[in-house]
Amino acid sequence: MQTSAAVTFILAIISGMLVDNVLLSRFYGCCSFIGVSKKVESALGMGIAVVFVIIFASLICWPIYNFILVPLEIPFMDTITYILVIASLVQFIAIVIKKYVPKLYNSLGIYLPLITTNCAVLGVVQANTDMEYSFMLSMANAIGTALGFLLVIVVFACIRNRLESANVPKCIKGTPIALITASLMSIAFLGFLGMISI
Amino acid sequence: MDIFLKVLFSIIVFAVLFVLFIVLYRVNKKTKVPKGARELERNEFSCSHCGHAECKFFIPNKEEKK
Repeated sequence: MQTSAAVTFILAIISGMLVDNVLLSRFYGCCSFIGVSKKVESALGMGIAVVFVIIFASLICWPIYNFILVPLEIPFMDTITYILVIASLVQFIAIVIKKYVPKLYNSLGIYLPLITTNCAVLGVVQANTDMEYSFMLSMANAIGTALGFLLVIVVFACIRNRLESANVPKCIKGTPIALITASLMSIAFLGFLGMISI
Repeated sequence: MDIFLKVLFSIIVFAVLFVLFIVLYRVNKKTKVPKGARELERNEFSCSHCGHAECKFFIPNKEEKK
């Protein structure tokens, strides 16, 4: 059965968000997932910052690859180009957050500049190139992956918040119970597997 | 395409993006966190033990004691 472009776009978003979740299925960006999920506000801020970086990085990197690197016959420069684009975007976001949401800037701390090395961002952009997605499909992939990251990090922060007041055995309190929770969430997300078949 | 041209284009692309990054990095370094926000956080009378503002067993932060 043939699917229209709009349906494919929506399915690609849902697929990137739930079925092939960047954190729980591909295990990219786990450092910030564990590090910034202690408070819901910080997790939300981090999630929004990552959403912004992933979407804009894909928006900028796709034309750079297809209209500059390929015509100049230097596609081997893709990874280093993406790294520089992502690093510049992160600096730009840091300036905006520092100026307009300083409280969030303080709570994000070292994790904000570390978005540069977040493999989720580079992974999405690199996947768009490797899979030879069209512009629309690469944007759908970026939006889906970014929303998936936001969803999972916020849900995980809420669960960790509840675990603070829960009666957890002393030996697994803190990070161990957080890791067990993450693994259970990963298993739960396996339930989405096979939901979409394009 | 000539290998020399490929190297040249690679260097140009890298240099342009690198300069962009350095400019943004320097602007970011010069941008300072507004003073008001820091003071707001310091003036929040939160309990140093549990972090809640309306804690029954309120233990003020060291800075607040001074």
